[in-house]
Amino acid sequence: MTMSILMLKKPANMRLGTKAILAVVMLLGAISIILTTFFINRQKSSLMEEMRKRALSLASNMAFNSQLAVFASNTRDLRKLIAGVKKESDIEDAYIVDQNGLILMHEDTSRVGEQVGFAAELDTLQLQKWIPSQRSDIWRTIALIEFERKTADSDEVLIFSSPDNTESGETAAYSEKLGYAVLEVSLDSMNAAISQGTKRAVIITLVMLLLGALAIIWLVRSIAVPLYRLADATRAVAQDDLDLTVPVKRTDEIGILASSFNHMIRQLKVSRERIEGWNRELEAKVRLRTKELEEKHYELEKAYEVLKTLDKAKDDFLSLVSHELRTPLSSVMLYSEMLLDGLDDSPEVRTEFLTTIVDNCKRLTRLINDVLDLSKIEAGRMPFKLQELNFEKLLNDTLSSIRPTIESRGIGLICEDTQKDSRLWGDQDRIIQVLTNIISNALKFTPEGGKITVSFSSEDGMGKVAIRDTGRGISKEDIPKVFDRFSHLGSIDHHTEGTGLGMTICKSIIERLNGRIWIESELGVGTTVFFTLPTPSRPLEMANGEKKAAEHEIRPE
Amino acid sequence: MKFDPNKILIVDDEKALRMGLSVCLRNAGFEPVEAADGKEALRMVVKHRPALLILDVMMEGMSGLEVCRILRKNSETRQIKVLFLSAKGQIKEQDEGMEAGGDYYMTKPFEYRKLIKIIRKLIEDN
Repeated sequence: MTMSILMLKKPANMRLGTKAILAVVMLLGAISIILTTFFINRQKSSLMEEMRKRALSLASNMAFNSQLAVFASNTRDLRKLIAGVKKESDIEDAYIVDQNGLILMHEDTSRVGEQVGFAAELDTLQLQKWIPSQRSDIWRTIALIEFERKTADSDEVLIFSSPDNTESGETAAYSEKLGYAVLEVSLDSMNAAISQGTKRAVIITLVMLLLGALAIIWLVRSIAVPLYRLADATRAVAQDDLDLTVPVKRTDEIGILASSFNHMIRQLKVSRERIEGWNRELEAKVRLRTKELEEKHYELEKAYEVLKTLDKAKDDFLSLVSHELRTPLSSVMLYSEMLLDGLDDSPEVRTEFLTTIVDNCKRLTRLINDVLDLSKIEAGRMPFKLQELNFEKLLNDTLSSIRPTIESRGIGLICEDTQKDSRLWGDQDRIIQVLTNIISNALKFTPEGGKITVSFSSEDGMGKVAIRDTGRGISKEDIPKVFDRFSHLGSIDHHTEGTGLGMTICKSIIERLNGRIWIESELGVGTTVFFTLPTPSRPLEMANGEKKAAEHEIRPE
Repeated sequence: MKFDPNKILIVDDEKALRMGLSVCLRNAGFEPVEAADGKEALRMVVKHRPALLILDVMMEGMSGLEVCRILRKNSETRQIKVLFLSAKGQIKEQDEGMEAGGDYYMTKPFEYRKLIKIIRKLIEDN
């Protein structure tokens, strides 16, 4: 605050408190100066008046007392009188002047007969006069010395006029001027008193001014400081600091303002916290959403990859199928054209050509059927009729169609049924299809005089079937390829026999029936194909989560 | 190495097709010989010195493309004409055949008269 006063800012830029203090102090100062001046002047004029009165009374006394002595020219009495008057305080000088302005009597005898400087004043003098002298600190009082003679009676009476009977009803019949009593009065003591009084007044004024200023400062501060605090608080709030509270210690308007302000800040804080809460919630939601989107994106990418792979697999499969279809088709076309053109036109050759055509047509049919079967099984559209089956019966049904081929090739078929309970749980036609396929394959690779052994065992609620041949076996590297589509492993003249899809279909069916299929083989010794299937004691749950239907039928999806 | 302009080697793992083609080619005045796979084909080339190979692409073991490349690498067999006869008919696969050094690429199923016409043309070019 003092700083701002010292720096003398523009009024508009000063703080409110400073402005108030300045204004009040200036007002106080002005009032004090006016009052002090007024009182000093009053005192001065009253002192002057007092001095005048005293001087006049002294002078008239002196004039009255000197009447006779002047009249009689008694210098001794006059000197005594003057010495007496001079003893009075403030009297600088006292003397008597005659009618012509010459000093008649003075303490200093050398001055007797001297012409006074104010002789002109004397002519206009009535009774007495109070006039300034040449020196500012000395005033001069002149009183007329006269005497009266009453002419009421014949005998003349000398009457000395008293100083205070001028207003009496008696009229002077005759008066004669004898001279003038002159008093020179020093104003020094009066001036000293006045200056002392002035000094005191100034000190009092200054003290009052100081006290007033202090009071004002205290008052303004008691109002302004809380206001400054409020202003600082609002600034802090504007700069986003809501943890601030203004102390409330009073109940006046400022206290109300402060508590309202605190309340407002609390409300602001609550609102801001709420908004921040919403913000956080939103952010969390956005994060969650982003994460979800990322996950979705990842899933979609994965799905896309899977689809791409599947699409590629489909393309590859189609290309393979197309190749497998074109091969027999080209034989059919070639032989048909040859027949049309009559090439090598003997009946035997013609029969041979036609047989080739028919064989290739059969092969095409098988191929188409197998492709359809496989795609149905893999797409889950193949209906499975699940029931309790007897393996022995299944094997007999299978062999009834293959047995002639086996016998014609002189291959021994041994059925090792080591267990009495050979029950299985599955689809009859599909299992016969699998058995036919595997046994036909075994036949293909088993030389004449070889042996095919079929055995059944059951453990852990699963029935296990093994078909062992004494063929040339499959190399280790080729075993996994057996179940590939169109693998055509090892058979030289496969085209007239299989489609290359047999084992793939077997695998699909067995896995669909919740079983497992695998191959063990040794080159030159033989190959064994194993597959397992559930037994009725442990009914299967279909692979891929398919539910068992009421009549144990797996319906197309 | 001198080649017999009448001899044609049919390489295909499909027996029926080989037999049918042999009949056709013989009828057209050629001397066909047969091979069931790539290795046999190379042996037959050395043995019979055919002027042209009818070569299947997809075969067990050595593929038709490999057989063709081997023929092209060897200076003695470089002039032998190669006619691919394949069930794989896509443009990409045809390009592969031509890149491997084939002189012609024919897709199954085919018309045998057209095949013989092309064989004649290829042999005359030589």
